Formats: sequence, C-alpha cells, structure tokens
Amino acid sequence: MGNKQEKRLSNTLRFVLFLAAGLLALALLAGLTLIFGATRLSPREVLAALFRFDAANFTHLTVRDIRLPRFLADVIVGASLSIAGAIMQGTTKNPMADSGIMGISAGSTLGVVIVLAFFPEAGRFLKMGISALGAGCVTLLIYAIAFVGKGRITSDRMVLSGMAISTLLSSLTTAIILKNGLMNQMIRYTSGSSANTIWKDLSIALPFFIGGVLTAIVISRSLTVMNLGEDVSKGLGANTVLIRTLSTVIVLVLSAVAVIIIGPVGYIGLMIPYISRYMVGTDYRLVLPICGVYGAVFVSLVDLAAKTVHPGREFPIGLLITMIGVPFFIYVSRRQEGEQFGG
Amino acid sequence: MKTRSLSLLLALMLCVQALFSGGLCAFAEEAEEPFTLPELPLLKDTRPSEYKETTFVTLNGDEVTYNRNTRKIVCVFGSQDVVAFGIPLLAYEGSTDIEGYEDFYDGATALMNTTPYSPEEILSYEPELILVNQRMSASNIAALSKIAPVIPLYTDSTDFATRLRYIGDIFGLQESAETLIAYADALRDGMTEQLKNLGLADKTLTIYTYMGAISIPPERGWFMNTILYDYVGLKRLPIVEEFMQDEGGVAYEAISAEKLRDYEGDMVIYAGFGESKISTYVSENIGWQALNAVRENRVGVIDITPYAQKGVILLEKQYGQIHDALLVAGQVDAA
Repeated sequence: MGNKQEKRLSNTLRFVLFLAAGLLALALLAGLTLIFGATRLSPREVLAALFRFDAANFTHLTVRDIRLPRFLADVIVGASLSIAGAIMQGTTKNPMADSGIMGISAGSTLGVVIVLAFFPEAGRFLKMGISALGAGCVTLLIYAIAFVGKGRITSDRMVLSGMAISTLLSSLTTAIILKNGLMNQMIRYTSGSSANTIWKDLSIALPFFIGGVLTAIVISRSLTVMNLGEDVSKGLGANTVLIRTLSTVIVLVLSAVAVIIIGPVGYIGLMIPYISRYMVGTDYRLVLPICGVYGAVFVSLVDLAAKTVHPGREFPIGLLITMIGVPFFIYVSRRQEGEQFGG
Repeated sequence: MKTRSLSLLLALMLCVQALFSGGLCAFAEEAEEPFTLPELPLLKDTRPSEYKETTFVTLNGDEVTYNRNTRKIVCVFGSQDVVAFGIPLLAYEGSTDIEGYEDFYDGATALMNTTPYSPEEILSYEPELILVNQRMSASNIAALSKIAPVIPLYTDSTDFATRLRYIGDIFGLQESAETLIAYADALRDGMTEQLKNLGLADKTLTIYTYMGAISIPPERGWFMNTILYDYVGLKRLPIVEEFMQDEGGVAYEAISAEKLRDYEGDMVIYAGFGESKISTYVSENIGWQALNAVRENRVGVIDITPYAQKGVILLEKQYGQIHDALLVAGQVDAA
C-alpha cells in the first residue's frame, strides 16, 4: 500500500516536472518559430509585431498572420493527435493504435479528395465538414466490422478492421486521384503542412479542439479504470459503454481537427503517448496533459526544422514526421513482443 | 438680309460641327478598335479518295509504307494538329478535351485507354494508319505495327512549322500546312505587336498557380510559358526563372507565404486548374494579399488546362486567354 502511494507521489512529481519542462520548451519554441522562418527576424521586430501591430508593415503581417497561426496550428495538431492516440491505445489496449493506422485519417483524406475532385470550388468549411464526415463514417465502419461476428469487440479485431478499411479507402482515394488528375495536389496534401494555416482555419477548429480536450480530461479517470480491463471496470461500477462511446467521439473529433488543418500525418499519436506513459505512468489524468503538451512540442519542433530545410520554400512536415515515426513504430513493435501493455 | 446671313451662319456651323464630329467619330473608331486575334482557318481534307501507297521516313528514321489517302486513322497522340488539316479520325486520344472543338472531331470516338493505350481497343477500329507519340518505345511501335502502319508525331517540339510540315508531308497536304503555319505565326506576331503597343514588352511577368499550395508552374509541360516567354518575349525575374527551371526539385514546390513577394514581377497572372477565377485558398493567403498586383487589383487570370497540350486548334483559346489576362495584368483598358 505504501509502495503504491509512493509510486503515485513519484508519478505526480514527475508529472509536474515534465509538464513544467514541456511548457517551457513550448514557450521557447513559440519564440523561435516567430523569429525563424523564410527570413530571420529580430526579437525586437517580433515584439513590435505582437504589441504595436501595423497592418501596412509586411514584417508585422508575417509574424501575426503567417507565423503565429502556423505555430498555433502545430500546437493544436500535435496535442490533438497525441491525445487521440493515447485514448485509442487505452480503449483498444493496443500500444500501436493510432488514428493513421486505424484508418480514421484515411477516411478523412477520402473526404478531402472527394471535395477536390467533385467540388473544386468548395470553401474551407465544406472541405473540413466532408473531411470530418469521412472520419466519422470510417469510425462507425470500424466498430461495425469489429462488432460483427461472434464474441464482443476486441482490441485486435478493431485494429485489424481499421487497417483493412484504411487499405480499402486508400485504394479508393488513389482511384479518384488518378481518374481526376489530382496527383500533384494530393501529394502535397498527404505530405502534410501547416504552412497555409490562417486564422479562419483556427477559428473553425478551435471549438472542436477545446471541446475534445476538455471531454478527454473529464473522462480521464474512467479511462484509467477502463485500462484495467472490461470486467474489472464494470466491477468498479464504470459505465463502459458510455466511456467507450465518448472516447470514440473524442478520437474522431480530435483526429478530424488535425487532419483538416495539416493533412493525414501519422505516427504522432503512436509516439507521443508511448513516451508520455514512460514519463508519468498509466494514469490518464497525468498521461493526457503530458501528451497534449509534448505532442505540441514535437510538431512545433519538427515544423521549425522543416522551415529550415529549404528556407523560402515549404518542406512538408509529414515527411519528416514519418521519417521519425517509422523507426519508432518498429522499435515499439519489437519491444511489445513479450511485454504487457500498460507501462 | 439679316435672316439670310443667320441662315448662312447656321449652315456654316452645322458643316463645322459635322466635320468635327465626323473626324472625332473616325478617331474614336480607330481608338476603340480592339485587337482581334486571327481566326483559325477551317481547312477541308483535299486528299483524293483512291488508294495511294506511300513510303515515308518518320522522325525516328524508320521507313513506313501506308495509304496516304486513308480516312481510317486512329490518333493515339497529337490529334489537335491533325484535325486542323480537316483530316477525319476514327478515334483520338481520350485525354484530349475537345470542348469548343467538337466540329473538328465529328464522327471520331475518344479512346478509352490512352496512357497506357490498349492494342485491342485500337484494333477494334480496324485502322489503316496509327499516329503515336514520339516517345513511344520501339517495342510498342512494333506491336502496334502488327495492326496497321505506325507513324510517330513530334511530341516535345513547340515549333509549329516543324510539326505541321511533318504532318503535311505524311498526308501530302503541304499547302494546308503552310496555311496553318501562317496562322500560328500571325497569332504570335499579332500578340507581340499588341504588347509592344501597350508598352508591356519589357515588363517582367510571373505566373502563380495553386497546387495544394501557391507555386509557379514549371517551365516544361505548360505551353503558356512558351507563348509568353519564348514567342511573345516577356521577361521574368531571375528567381522566377530559376524556380521554373529547377527540374531537380519538387514539381509545384510550395513557396512560403513570406516569400511570395520576392517572386512578383511587374505583371502577375494567376493560372487556375480548370477554373478561371482565383481560388479562395490563394486569395486568403497573407503573402498573396501583400502582392502589389493583388493590392492594385491587376491580376490576370487564366485556366491553365488548355496549356497542357500543344495543338494548332488550341491556339485561339490559348492566345485569347493570355490576351485578356495581360490586359488586366498590364492594367490596360481593353478599349
């Protein structure tokens, strides 16, 4: 009993330390992101742009209307995908679950392709709406397939059905791209980039992001209980159906928010929750905030690196994330052999 | 007497007014006469109908023997040049957009498979001559030759004289070829003259496009670049030229919103894909909004899709769009 309390205290202390370090890193990255870009600005120029804004000054516009929304987009995308990944891994009890691997991103991408192919003049809101609808349909489909057959929904069945749907939708997406000559446009979209984010994008995404994150924090205790297994959770009085449904909605909303801002970027939801659990254990009340902060730090850092690859031209952030994510995926899959999920 | 003098004075005033207004009208007519692009000559297929065996040396150096007067032609590539001669086709490449040119393709069917082509589909038309892409491999040409004689057409050449004389030689329609070449030259010369008159000949021009991000269309593959920079002789900034010729880089590489201004020439054209208006993703871009041309509302707009192909029948549409766009980009009143 004493050991458990010590461990919890230790995890709480680690949580406070890691959270403070993460927030500090995020603040530092915010400063660097506003200074470095296609051209390097001085801190004085950045401060002037933020506090003595002059709409006729292009440097001020660069800071306030190009770099700041881009940084906030990175924060939202990183936090969204990390929290969504953590929740998916918790509810499916599979450390390799991720919105990309589970097919949710593929559904969202198909939505975007449909808009580009059949409604090329559609505005941002319609594009976002259809993209979110695609993600929603896929989520329902995953559950439906996993539900069909004997026995209850298992994590393995969900992951496998997600992967199968992802493959199917990717083929469908490719067919539409080829048929409609959208190759270049889609390569750019699927490579992922937050470079063209404007305040309007953020104003559309922000309510969904805040709602998703708050709901995730509210149910974080129940997620920890769910992590003990379906039977134990029920024994402890948890409403597993409600928690699972809410989790699904949160994952769907947060994944869709990320995909519509930056494109179908994978592996963030796989890597960050894994590292977060390593930092603070398996208590979701601690894991989710750490995931949010470090997801934001990770994407902001990678985007800062992407901006320096070829200054003045935009290197797709998704390619860099994939280059980091694939070795990590292999590492996790190898470590998983013989290990029990749960940290 | 007084009345007579008044009448004379009135008559004189009327004459002066008539002369003055007549002169003004003539001047106004001259000033308001808009530049008109030469019209595509509508040629007839003047070949006789009887069989005429001909041996022709193709651009690959191969000798091909075929019936020069055949009307049973399948065009896997380059139909926009061939139909301008009035030559009827059995089938043409399916990737060709014939909207506005339906009359030239009367009775012809679009091939379902062009890249890759389907020998079975081509065979189904029972052709006596197959016209293909210059880049088609020797093995594929050999395979198609089992169906009918195969002649490759110029693919990359933007020289209308070379391309049209070659087709004229294939069918013995040299006179028609010269008529079409004269038309292409007249368009080019007319447009160049027009730009000179408008004082735009020495201006730099930048063409932006949107391909998931704002970029500049690469030099190769888009015929408007040839028309604007080679034929008409407009200038471009060194940074734009470097971007367009960067074939080792990613096609349509995204230009940072922070740097779009660095690429802005004296004139700006936006080339939309399949649309003749500026995408909202572009108009809402902060870097785009900071361009002088955007602020001064003088961005010419074209639909880029007709420029994906070269063909003499397309020239009217291609030049027409460019002409209208330059009038806006050069902030010149059409009147």
